[in-house]
Amino acid sequence: MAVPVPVPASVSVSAAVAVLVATAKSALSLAHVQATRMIMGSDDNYASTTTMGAAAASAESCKQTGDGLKCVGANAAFALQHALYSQAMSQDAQAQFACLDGSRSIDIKSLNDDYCDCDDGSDESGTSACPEAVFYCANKGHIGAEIPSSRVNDGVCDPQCCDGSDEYSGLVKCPNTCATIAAEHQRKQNELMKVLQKGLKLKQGYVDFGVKAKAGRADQLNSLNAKISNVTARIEELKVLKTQAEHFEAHQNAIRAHENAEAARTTLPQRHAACIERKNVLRTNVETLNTRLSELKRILDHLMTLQDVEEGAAFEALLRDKPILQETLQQYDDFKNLYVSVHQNEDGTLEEDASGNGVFITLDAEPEEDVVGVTHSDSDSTDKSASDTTPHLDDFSDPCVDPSASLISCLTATATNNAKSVLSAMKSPFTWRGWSKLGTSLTRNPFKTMSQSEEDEVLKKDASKARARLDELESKKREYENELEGIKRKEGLDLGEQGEWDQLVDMCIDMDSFEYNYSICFLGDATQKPKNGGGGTSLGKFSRWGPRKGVAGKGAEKYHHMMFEGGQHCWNGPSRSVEVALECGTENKILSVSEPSKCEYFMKVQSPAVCDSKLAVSGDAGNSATREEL
Amino acid sequence: MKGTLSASVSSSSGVLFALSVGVLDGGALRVQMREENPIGNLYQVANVVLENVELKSKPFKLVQSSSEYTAIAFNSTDIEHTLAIHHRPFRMDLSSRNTPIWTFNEHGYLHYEHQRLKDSPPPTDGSEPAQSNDETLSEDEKTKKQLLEEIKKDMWDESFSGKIDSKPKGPTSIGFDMNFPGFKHTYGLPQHASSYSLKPTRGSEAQYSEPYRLYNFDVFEYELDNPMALYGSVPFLMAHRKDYSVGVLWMNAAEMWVDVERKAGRGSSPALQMQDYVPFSTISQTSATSTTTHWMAESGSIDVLILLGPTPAAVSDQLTRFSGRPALPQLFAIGYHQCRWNYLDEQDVADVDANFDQFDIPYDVLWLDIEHTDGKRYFTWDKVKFPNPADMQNDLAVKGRKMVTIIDPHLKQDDGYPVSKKAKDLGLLVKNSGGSDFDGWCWPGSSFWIDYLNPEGRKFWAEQFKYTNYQGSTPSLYTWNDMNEPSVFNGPEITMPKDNLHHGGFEHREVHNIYGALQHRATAEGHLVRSDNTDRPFVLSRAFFIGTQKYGAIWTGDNTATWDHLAVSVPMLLTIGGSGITFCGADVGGFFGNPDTDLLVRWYQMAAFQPFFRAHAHIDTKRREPWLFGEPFTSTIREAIRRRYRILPYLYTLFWESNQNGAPVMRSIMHEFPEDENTFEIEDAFMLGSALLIHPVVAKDVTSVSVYLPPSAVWYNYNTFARISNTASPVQVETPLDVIPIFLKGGSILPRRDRVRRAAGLGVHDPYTLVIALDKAGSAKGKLYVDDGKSYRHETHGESIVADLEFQGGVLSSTSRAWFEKRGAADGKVVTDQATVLESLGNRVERLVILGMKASGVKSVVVKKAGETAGKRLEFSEEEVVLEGVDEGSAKQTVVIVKDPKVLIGEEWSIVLS
Repeated sequence: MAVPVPVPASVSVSAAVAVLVATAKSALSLAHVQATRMIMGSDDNYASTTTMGAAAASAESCKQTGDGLKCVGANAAFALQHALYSQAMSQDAQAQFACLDGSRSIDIKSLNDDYCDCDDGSDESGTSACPEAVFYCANKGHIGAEIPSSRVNDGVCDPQCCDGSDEYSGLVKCPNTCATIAAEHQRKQNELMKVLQKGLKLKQGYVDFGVKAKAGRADQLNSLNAKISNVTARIEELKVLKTQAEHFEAHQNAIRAHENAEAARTTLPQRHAACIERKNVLRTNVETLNTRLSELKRILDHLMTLQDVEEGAAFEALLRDKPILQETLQQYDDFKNLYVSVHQNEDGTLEEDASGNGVFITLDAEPEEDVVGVTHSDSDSTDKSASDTTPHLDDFSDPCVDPSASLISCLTATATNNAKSVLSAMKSPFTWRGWSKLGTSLTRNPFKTMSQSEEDEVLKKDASKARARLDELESKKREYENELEGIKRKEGLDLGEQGEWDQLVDMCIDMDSFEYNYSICFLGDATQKPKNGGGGTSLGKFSRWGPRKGVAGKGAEKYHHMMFEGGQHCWNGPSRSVEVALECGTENKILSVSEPSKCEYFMKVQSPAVCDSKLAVSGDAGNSATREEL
Repeated sequence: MKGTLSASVSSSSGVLFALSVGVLDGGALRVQMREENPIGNLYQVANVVLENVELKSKPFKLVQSSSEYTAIAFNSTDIEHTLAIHHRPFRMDLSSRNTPIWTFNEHGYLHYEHQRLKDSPPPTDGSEPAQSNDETLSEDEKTKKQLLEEIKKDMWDESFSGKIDSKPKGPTSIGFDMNFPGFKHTYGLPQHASSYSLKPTRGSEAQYSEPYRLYNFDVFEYELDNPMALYGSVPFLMAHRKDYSVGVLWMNAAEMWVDVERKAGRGSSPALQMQDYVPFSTISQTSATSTTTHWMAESGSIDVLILLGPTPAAVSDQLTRFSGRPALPQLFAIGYHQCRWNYLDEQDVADVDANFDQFDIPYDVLWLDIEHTDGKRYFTWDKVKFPNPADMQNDLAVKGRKMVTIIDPHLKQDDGYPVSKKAKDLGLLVKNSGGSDFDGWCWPGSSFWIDYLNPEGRKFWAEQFKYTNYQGSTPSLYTWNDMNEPSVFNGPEITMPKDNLHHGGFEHREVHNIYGALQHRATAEGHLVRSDNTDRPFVLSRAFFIGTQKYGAIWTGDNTATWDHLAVSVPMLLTIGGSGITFCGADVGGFFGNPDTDLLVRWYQMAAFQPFFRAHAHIDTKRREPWLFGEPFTSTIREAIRRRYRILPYLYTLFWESNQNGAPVMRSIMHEFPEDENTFEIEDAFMLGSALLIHPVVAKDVTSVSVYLPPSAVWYNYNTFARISNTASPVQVETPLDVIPIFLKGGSILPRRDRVRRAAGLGVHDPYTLVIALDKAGSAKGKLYVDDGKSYRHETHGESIVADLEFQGGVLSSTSRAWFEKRGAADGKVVTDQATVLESLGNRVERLVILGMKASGVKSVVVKKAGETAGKRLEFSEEEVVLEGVDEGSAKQTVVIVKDPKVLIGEEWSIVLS
């Protein structure tokens, strides 16, 4: 042990290893832990740590040179410090230690003497004496870890130091749990690797899709642009044709009007008879419906009166048992109220009695069967009068289409509409719009088999067809333009390092949390909906990659956070926004949602798109996973 | 003569009042006056305030007794005092060393509404004009008549914004004047968002148009520079002049208003002297400005302590001798507290805790606001968000950290909620004027309020803190009492109706201001109950009153994230701390609103030197935990917090001193330099103990501040250790965002722990650094108090150390002999022997930092322990520091750092520099 090796302070950190200073701290710590233990004389694991240190500082990695001691290799800094330390300790305590920041030289005995000599703390990496120092736990059998020196001998067994080496003062006895933790770590690591492998495969799919889609988009853009210019040209032609046709038709109409008037006059009796017959059929239908309705109403009214009488409690129980019944009653009640209000609005008076009989259409008020004064010029005014006498039920969407509307309202509306149709047919059989609707539906797509010139010939003489055709092409153009817009939007988006987000654009995922359902569409919208129904609240639109605060990372890191901003404004707060933190997983899934600050949401989301093959290689995943799990 | 002087005072209406004046041992005069034959009992605050206070009367000498006046003489703190009681008109004059310091009823404002029955005719007082026609009355008489009618109209009930206050006891108000001849400055009357030296409210110098109001309120977004009432009240005021301080404390819990008026002295007549015990006749003879105060309360009686001083420190001692010494907090309680309305759930708590460690920022307590409960039922947990509260607390406790939950005084009306149901069944609730349980609105909706005036109510409340009752609580859980003014959302001025009824038949108007303090007390008693009197309570309260300091800490309530609020927190805390409540603080960052980053940084820098150090934020604000601002801000905040952790040994010693003698932990510069008139209005800087002077930066983009350093002392820049030239006051100090000007007073020894742990308790075995700042004579003194920081063993078993540190003539000596000899044990307990105490509490000194030595003056440093003749040489280093400012004929200054003398605090030793 007594080989005097003079180690001038100036070379303990030579220029060659200066760059390693930053990383040297941890390695240095290990050496210092040993020193501490020697000084403190309380080391159970002294032999093993020494062996480790010696192994790391293998003889061939360090050489004494004219410039001092030089070490090479992955653990150069460690080796250097260890060698220095060993050398120093082997002397009769004459050596000096230069603080790593070069600020001063201290007696070698001052290393780890539980007093901070160096401003940078490099003399006390084994104790808590220097506030800036870092302590290294070897965690033999697991992964070494660094902790701030302030956690050395504070009476807390730090989970990062599974070997318990951070607590040697006797305040607390920390068991060595490295074996257990290493096993658990390995298990998790394996699991993580599985997830990563699977995730990477999926991600590759996304990337492939993205590559294709990106290439395809150029072609799509070209073809769409071509289509749009073609359609635009044709639209211009059609506009000309339409004008021609309208001129033509105006002329033809004048002739036909005259002829029609004649023809109508001759066929009127037959058509009138047919109408009467049809009317009778419809009338029977209406009566049937009214009968059914009245039966239904009677039942419902009975049920409702039941509520008011004394067996109310029993009825309540029934209602609770049969929620559908309750719902029906509620809807019926709502309908009655609605009907009343509608009829009240009509002319300020209530048309029906309180019993709700007004919901039925009475046919008593039908017009004279003799049709008088049917002229061309009449059609407008009859239409108008029909609408005048029709309740404003038209204002409400068709209850038979609206999925939220009830059966009863559909039934009622149907009955009402039937009656209306009959009435208007009676008033003006020739102007009933139904006929012309029927007509157009029969004459759809008439151009499929025509050449353009043939089509032009037809259109030139048929204004309605020309208009329809023009409408059709204009909507086609809009369609193309929308498609173009969509492609351009995607082109403008940052779809990830390898375009892996291409396939996920606008893909939506959601999750229930407490009273809300949260959904985000990747690079699209974020929404919050109450679970018990009601409208959604916008939490923002995709605005950028990167976290809420600070700048986005570089490379793959940049895509680890997705921000949605500019959502619905919050009372007494900002516009709603969401920070999405993405982690590698085998499916696209929201893991958690929280609202750390008012209306500033935070979501953890899993996606294969952020799986990174580097994690598998560098072992970074392992380290961070270890930290988390500890 | 011994005891008390008693007399009858007859009012103009013929009602007799009993006057009693007593001289109390401990430096106070007690003046009581109440009706001799009252119809009913009115609440006597003194019964609570003076509970457990041993009142000893001091002998006095009757020096004059004539038909005109009676005069007595007595000594207090070795100063001769004379009190003259003039008989007609009644008035009292108190003088000290023949100089007047206090008078009572000098201005004849004494007005006492005697008790009466509603139906009985008012007693004739002769002054009232006999029945006559209005036409025959003069204008003055008409006005007077109108005024009387106006007063009579509201005598038996009155309404305020649609709410009727029935007044079954009729009018019971009291008013009187107390005057301070030759005193320009008065301090006290918390709580107001106002100046430290009280601004006059009357007279030519009046700066407010209304008197200071004392009536505890939950005020939403309170206004600054305003005499309006806030959350707490202490009817205490101290008058101070260069040579004397005198305090007054009116023990009364009713709504109170106090006018302050300055009166300029007249001409150049000589300062008044009193010869041969002849009572002085009028203050107008003094040349100096005097201050008159006019006190008005809605109810109660006159029961005033005159605290005889003669220094601010003596007044603090006297005030807390009679109203209670500040409790010694646990060590963790003086660390940093992290609060927010609200940390959402257990995960959020774990994340916040983990972030403190990740960013290496120490903290001691994490707080949960009202949202942690099951539907605002206190003593319960939200089962979804906090399913495992005990585990959550234990996860913090492993790292020496604690948790605090909010427990408010309102109880949700819900028979399924046992606390509410039981309190109702036991009849422990505050009643409305009709005698049924008072129903008011607060956070949980319809609520009840426990009647803490009732000893049974307090006992019931305390029991709720037992671990078996408070499910999910652990020994590391402590308590926050909010909304205890009490806040009642649908009550008049957001509080209880004044005609609500309390235990003993007292109306709420009589007890309002003490209500919150009694909840505070009951909660602290709960902490004692649950730990079998072994664990010191920690309870934060918003409402406060005389004596609150016995129960725990208070904070200034719901402030706002603005620079103005940052600035006003200094005078507010100086006032509160000077009124006995020495453990106080303001929400760091401001409760309402989002602070700019620089505001937040400045707030941390300042609050780290204030007694109670907690960050808090409203639920509508953005997150503002220290790591959310990026660099350099996170580091600046981290350093601010660490600065506090380093001085914890000093701070803890200050809290102990406060516990011994009521000295404010955070105190005004005036308090430390009472003879320096330049300090009397300073409120932009403060002292932490007597060693540190802090001048916070309280405005945006301030590049430098001007700091007044009293020239009678030597000062060092605490940040650089440079000595400040004593010709340079006020000094201009640069204030980049990472700098808060702090100065160390020469003559102090500041004990620190430079190893900053994650939580205060984790550092108790760490060695000390002693920063020794020499005065002009090259000397310094300091104290270091040590105990286990948690229990009462310092009281019960004498397990504590007080090290007296002194540096003189190049020798630093430490002795604890006096302390060890003095300490005792509780009844039936044995004093722990010195060796055992040293073994568990004595830590070594690892470093001396000596400021103000002459350059290259030190040749060797030797340590000598008791009994040793030859000492051991120590390593030391010397660093030159640049003097700040220009010094006359300046010698160069050095900082001498002595390495690891390996001496224990608690042992006898000396370190000799030669």
